Parts: sequence; C-alpha cells; structure tokens
Amino acid sequence: MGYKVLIVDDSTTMRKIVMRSLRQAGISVAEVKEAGDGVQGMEALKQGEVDLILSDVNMPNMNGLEFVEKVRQELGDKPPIVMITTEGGEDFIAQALSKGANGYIKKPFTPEKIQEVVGPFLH
Amino acid sequence: MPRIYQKSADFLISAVKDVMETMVFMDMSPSEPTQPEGTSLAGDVVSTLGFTGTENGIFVTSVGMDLARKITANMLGMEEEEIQDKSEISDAMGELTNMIAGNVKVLWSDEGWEMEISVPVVMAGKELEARFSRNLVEGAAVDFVNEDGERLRVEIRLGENPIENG
Repeated sequence: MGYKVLIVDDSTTMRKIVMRSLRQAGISVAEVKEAGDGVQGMEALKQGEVDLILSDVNMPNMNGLEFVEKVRQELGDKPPIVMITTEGGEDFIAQALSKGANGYIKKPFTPEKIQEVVGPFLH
Repeated sequence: MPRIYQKSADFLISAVKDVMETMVFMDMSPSEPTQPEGTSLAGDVVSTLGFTGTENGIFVTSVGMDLARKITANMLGMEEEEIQDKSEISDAMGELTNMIAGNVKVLWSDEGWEMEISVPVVMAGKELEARFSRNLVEGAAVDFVNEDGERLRVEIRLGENPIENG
C-alpha cells in the first residue's frame, strides 16, 4: 500500500529532500505530486485526491498559509496538511493551526522527525 | 562591540552547524567570529538574503564550486558527479542560506528581536564578487571549514547604528 502525497515548495531542492526524507522515514509513497506554490498546489489537487500535503510557507503567488486556508475552504478537513518551514515561532504555529494545518516540521529536519509528525496522519 | 553583533555571531555558528549536520551531513568547524570585510564578498556561489525588523540587513553565504557541488549532492542524496546543472547548485545553496537565516530568526526572536526574511538571491559562476552598500559593513562573519579544508563563509551584515541592547 502506498500513499499519494502532494509536496508544495518553491525550491526544487527542498521538494527532493522531502521526497527522500519520506522514503528514509519508511513511508510508502505510491505517487508524488509537486507544486511550486499554492496556486499550483490547488491545480494539482483538482487532478485527484491525495492522502497527505506537505507545504512550505514562504512561496510566491499563494503562500503556505493562504494555501492551507484555500484547501480547507474547498476540500474540508481532509487531507491532512503539514507545514515544513523555517518559521518556528509560537505565533506562526498558532496561525497555521488556526487556518487548518494539522502539524508542522521546522527546517532543518531529519527523517525521524518526518515520521514522528506525519506518521499519525497515515493509516 | 554592540551586543547584537556578538549574539549574531553565536547564532550564526549555532544555525550553520545545525543545518549542515542535519541536512548536509557535514561537520563544519567555525573560525573565531570577525567583522565582515569591506563592501564585497567573493566566491563561486554567493547567496544573499535580506531581512527587516528590529534591524535591517542581509545574510550572505559564499563557497567555492567544489564545496557547493558537494553540499548539493549531500542534500539531494546523490553522487557529486551527478550534479552537473548549475541551477541545481544555485537552488540548493539558496535553500541552505534560507534555512540558516530561518534558524537565526528563531534565535533572534528568543532575544525579543523581530526579523522578517526575504527570498534568497544566488549567483553561481567562477570567482564572482557580490558588492554591498557602504552601510552594510558591520555585523558578524564566520568561516566554516570541513574535514577536507573546504570553506563556507557566512556573514550577517547589519545597517548602521544597531541597537545596543536587546
């Protein structure tokens, strides 16, 4: 069994690091969709459901918080969304969670951290 | 020396070691912090990232192409020989600079200082030189060296008349 994952980040490097970290965390990924910003992320979601979204915050066109808000408006409380970000302040975390994010991972991160945060959302 | 310079140096060392060990799997030894030198910084891959808030300024990183390629390969889990595209190296070094700045931002906030960081700008080539405004000549600069003697220089340059206390 593998999961469908959407990775939203304007850095191709970070998208590859996230993919690699998911594999190293032992998470079985059947399909990866990639998007460079929130607008592309919404387009990717129109192409089909995913089991998990991992999103950066600081992106052009539609940032991560705007993207979370949009996903929740249009798709409800699924799929789970985990922010992957350099933002680590309590204000940011509270804001992300209030907009509908389910968790966050602060950069830099290890595969173990990915498993710890993402694992509970995958069945 | 304004306290913010010494604190910034400490934060740079902590941030770079954390990012390099966690994401690049590379141990780096820091030099003694100094003031940045002059109004320019040379290197094959030079990344700059601006910030505003309690202070205004920039983060700068500079490396040779060999170390930049090694860093990129390690971040992506690839062999160095596979890294041929300069844009891949630029993106990786930009992300590295972004993570370092993000780490420093969190440490600054613990001091009660605010910081909003911009998107990194990366130049990649051969023996490039980034030039800065004359009011961005003070702050903290640290050289980090790996076991092969390759150097990563990281600077935080602050505008004139920084705050004396947190």
